[in-house]
This record gives sequence, C-alpha cells and structure tokens, in this order.
Amino acid sequence: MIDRIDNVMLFFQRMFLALANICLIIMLVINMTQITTRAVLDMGISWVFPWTVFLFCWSIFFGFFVLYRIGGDITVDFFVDRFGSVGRTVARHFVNLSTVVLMVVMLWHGPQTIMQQFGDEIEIVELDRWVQTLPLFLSCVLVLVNAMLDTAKAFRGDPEPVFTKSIDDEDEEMS
Amino acid sequence: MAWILFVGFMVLIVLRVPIVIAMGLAVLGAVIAGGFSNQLYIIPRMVADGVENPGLLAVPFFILAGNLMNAVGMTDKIFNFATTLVGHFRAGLAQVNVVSSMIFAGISGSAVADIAGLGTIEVKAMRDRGYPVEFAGALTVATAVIGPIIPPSIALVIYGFLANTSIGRLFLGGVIPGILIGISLMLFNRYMAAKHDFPREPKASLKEVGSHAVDGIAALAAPGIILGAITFGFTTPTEAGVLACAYSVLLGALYKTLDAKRLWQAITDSMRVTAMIMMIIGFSHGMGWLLAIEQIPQAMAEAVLLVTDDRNVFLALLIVFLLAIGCVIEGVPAKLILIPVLLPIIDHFGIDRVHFGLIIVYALLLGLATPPMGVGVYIMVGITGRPFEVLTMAVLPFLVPLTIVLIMITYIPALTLWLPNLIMGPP
Repeated sequence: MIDRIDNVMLFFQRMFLALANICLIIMLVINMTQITTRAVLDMGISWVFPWTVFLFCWSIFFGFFVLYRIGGDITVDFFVDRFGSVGRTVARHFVNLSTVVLMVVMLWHGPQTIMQQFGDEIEIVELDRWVQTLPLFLSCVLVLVNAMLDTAKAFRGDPEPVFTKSIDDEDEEMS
Repeated sequence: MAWILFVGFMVLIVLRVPIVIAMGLAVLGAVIAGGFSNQLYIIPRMVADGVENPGLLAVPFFILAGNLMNAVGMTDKIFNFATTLVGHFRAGLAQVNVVSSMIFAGISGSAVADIAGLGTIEVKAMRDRGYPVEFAGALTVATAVIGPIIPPSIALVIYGFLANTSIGRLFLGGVIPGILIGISLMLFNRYMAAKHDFPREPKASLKEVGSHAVDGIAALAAPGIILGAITFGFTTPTEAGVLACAYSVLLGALYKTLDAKRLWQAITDSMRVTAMIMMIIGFSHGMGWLLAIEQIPQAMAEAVLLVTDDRNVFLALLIVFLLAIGCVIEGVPAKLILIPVLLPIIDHFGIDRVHFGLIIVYALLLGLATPPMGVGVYIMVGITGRPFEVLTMAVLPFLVPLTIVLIMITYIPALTLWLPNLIMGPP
C-alpha cells in the first residue's frame, strides 16, 4: 500500500516538475522574444509581462510540491543530530506533523480563497485569478499526502531519504 | 503576537522544520495569538498574493543563469583561468578559490550556487594538492559570500523590492565591496600560507594564460552584459536575467557542452531554489500584515532612538545585531522580517538605502558560515563528508577578514555609493 502510494506520488512529482520547468522555459522564451522585438523592431509585446507573472506563479506553485518531494528546502540538523537516531526519528515525525497542520489550514481555507478569486479576471491574460492560484492548493494536497506517507514509511522503518553526495562517495563510485 | 512570530520561527527551525513550513507555522501561530483565529483564510490568500510579485520576476532568471553556467562547464573553465592567473602565488589553489568565486559571482547571484557549482571542483583540487579538506571547505564557504555581493545578486533584488530601491544602483554598489572581500580573503590566505607552507602551482606559460583567458573573458562578459543592460536602461532587471540565461545557453552551444539532460537539470535546480525563496516570501506576506497591525517598525524605531541618537553608535549596534540574527535565521526570511522593521530607523539616521542594502545583505550573508543556521557549512558537510562542528571551527578564522570588510563597508559609505553615483548620478 505504502509503495503503491509512493509510486503515485512519484508520478505527480514528475508531472509537477515538468509543468514547473515548462513554465520557466516559456517565461524565458517569451521574454527573450520581447527583448529581441524591442531591440530590432522597436516594438514591445504587451502580453509578455502579464503572462510572465502568471507563469511565474504557476512555476512556484507546481514547484512547491517538488521542493518537498526531493528535499529542496533548508533544514538545520545541528541540534537534532545531538540526540542521535532517537532525536532524528522524533524530529522526522514532528516535521511531518508540522507540515500536516499547515497544509490542513491552507486546504481548509483554500476554497474560500478560490471563491474570492472567481470573476477577478487577470488583465490581458483573460483568465480568472483562481486559475493562477489553483496549483498552490494542488501542491498543498500532495505535500500533505507526502508528509503522511513519510510518517508511514518511518513507522515501517524506512530510513530518511538523503539527497547529497560527498566527494568521498564520488571517489568510491569512481573506483 | 510579534514574539510568537520570531520565537516560534526560531524554535521550529531548531527542531529541523524546513524553513518554508516554519515560516508558515510561525505566521499561523501569531495570527491565532493575535485573536484573528476566525480569519485564518488570510494565510492562503496572502501566500497567493505574496508570490504574485512582479518585483521578484528576476529571481528565477539570475538563479538559472548561474546553474546554466555550471551546466555548460564554465566553472571548470573559470577555475582553470584563475589557476593560470594566481596559481603560482603562495597557497596558489587557495587564491584560485577566491578568484574563481569572484569571477563566478559575476554570473551567478547566489552563494549557494557558488558552493554547489565551484565547491566540489575546488575542494577536490585542493585536497589532491595536500591542503586539509577542512581548510578547503571552509575557504570555499567564505569565498561564496562574494556571490551575492558582486552583481548580479538575488539577495539585492529581494532587498530592492522590499526597500523600494533601484536594482541598478544596488548592483553597482556591490562591485567595490565584492572586490574588497576578495582581496581580504587573498591576504588572509597569504597569512595562512606562511603558517602552513601551502604549495604553489607551476607558473603558467603565456600560451596557457592566453588560451584560458578566452574562457575567462567569456565568463567576465556576463556581468558586463547584465550591469550594462540595467544601468543604461536597455532592459529591466528581469530581462537582464533573461539575457544572462541566453548568453549562458549561447556559450553552451559554442563550447558544445550543453545537452538536453544538463539543460533540464539546470532548470530543475533553478525552479527548486526559486520555489523555496518565493514560498518563504509568500508565507512571510502574512507576517508583514501582522507587523503592520502591531506597529512593530514604529515601536522598534522608538526603542532604538531611546538607546542612541548617534549614527555611528547605531551602525555599530546594527552590525552586531545583524551578525547575531544571521547566525540564527536564514538570509531570505531574515531580510523579510528585518527590512520593514529597520527602514524607518535607517531613514531617520539619513543612511542611504543602497548603503544599508549592502550592509544588511552582507552581514546576513556571514550567517552562511556560522552555526546553527550556516547553510553554506551544511552544503559543505554534504560535499566534504566532514562533520558540521569540524567545518564550523575551520570557517571561524575566515570571519575575521570578512568582518573587517563589513566594518569598512558600514563606516565608509563611499565604498558602496561612489560607483552608482558616478555612473547613474546622485539619487
């Protein structure tokens, strides 16, 4: 069951990563086009800026889940490491619990935020603002599930994922 | 309410809660403590509003430009170029480490990108030439501080947005302090070389210098493009970031080193860092609302003025305070918390906001190298495999030259303001 949910999460991780990256690529391309047309034709493109803001938000909101799935946020291990494996296990549960609390608050009030944005059309983009915000709540759902999944993994005895490699590890791999 | 915000955030960080979640929970706790528990809907709303921020559109592009430069192998080329320039000095590779970071700083706006990009190459090269790994790691953390000072700088973009200050002026203001930091670290290396008999590299021939100089000039052109484009009004800071990315891709095409996999990885790394920074800003948007309700900036200003009305004393207190805060709070949330609080006081003392920008960004950056929130040291633990305490102890001596430069920047405003005033005119 845990592994099956983990596979589903992996699917969403890849999908959200692709979506966030594509948003960034489109932002890059349209802004480069804007710079070029302004330099060559002395003509700006009015839709570039609002669409850049829109895609920027999507990139961040889709990326929010990816950030947690692949361990991108900053944490301070110094104090917790003083308490050995017990401290790390307790901290792992505490972090997951904290994440669940925040995500529940976000999602509980999410519909209200979305409702307030109905009919609030973004100029030039011509989409309601809730379309821009929706990926935030989709990511919150996935971050919530991921935190609960990690708790289940911890109870099963799975080690915490490690995301960095030292030069000694690389040397060993090379040899 | 305000103390719940600050103390809550710090307690959560100590308990290993990721920064974004810690910021969100601290704001949540403060909102509830402030009697607004029936208005928790403001939290998701403020996150959505905080991220939708045109002033920060440049952030992902400056991050991506640095990562693309890593992806196209510019870090190796910069390292080789720096080796031909200063490798034959006493403690040659240590000096190469400093010069490489100064050149890379002109491409990337992030200290973390500097450590991640150059760190492995520098530490491995120094280890293989007999330098202690701890010294190599500590020096790499110290030199990474140059990244967000020499333009472009993500930290200065965020400051510019928060303090409503020209990004062009801030970028120009960082040039001389960045060079000063580099010189101070090189002098310190020279001093260490005399104590530890670190090796020199063979002097490069003119032919070698010439061949690597082409790569070096290619790297050095990036800050010229960025600064020129912003300063002379050809582009916005966001577009300058886009130009820097396009330039990196162009170099990748010329060197034939940028394949789809590397490009995708660079975009992924950039997206990840941007998402982290912007989600912190998103959650802290609620914090700004709370600070405004409690009138914390005004109260803070009154409290400071009760202690001293002397500008120099205030500046001394400011840098001690910022160094202490930098130890316990990471740079982005620290700026988000402190800048709105400190700006009224800065204005009262007539301190130029560009000058203050460089002081606060640099002072908080030193937190990269100090426990418990030393992000740079944490990354170096990952690279070297050495314990946090060992690397922290190794970094401490480097804080001496870095702090001397901070004092110079603080008390000699011309170091920061001369260049922007010269090029862009007085504010």
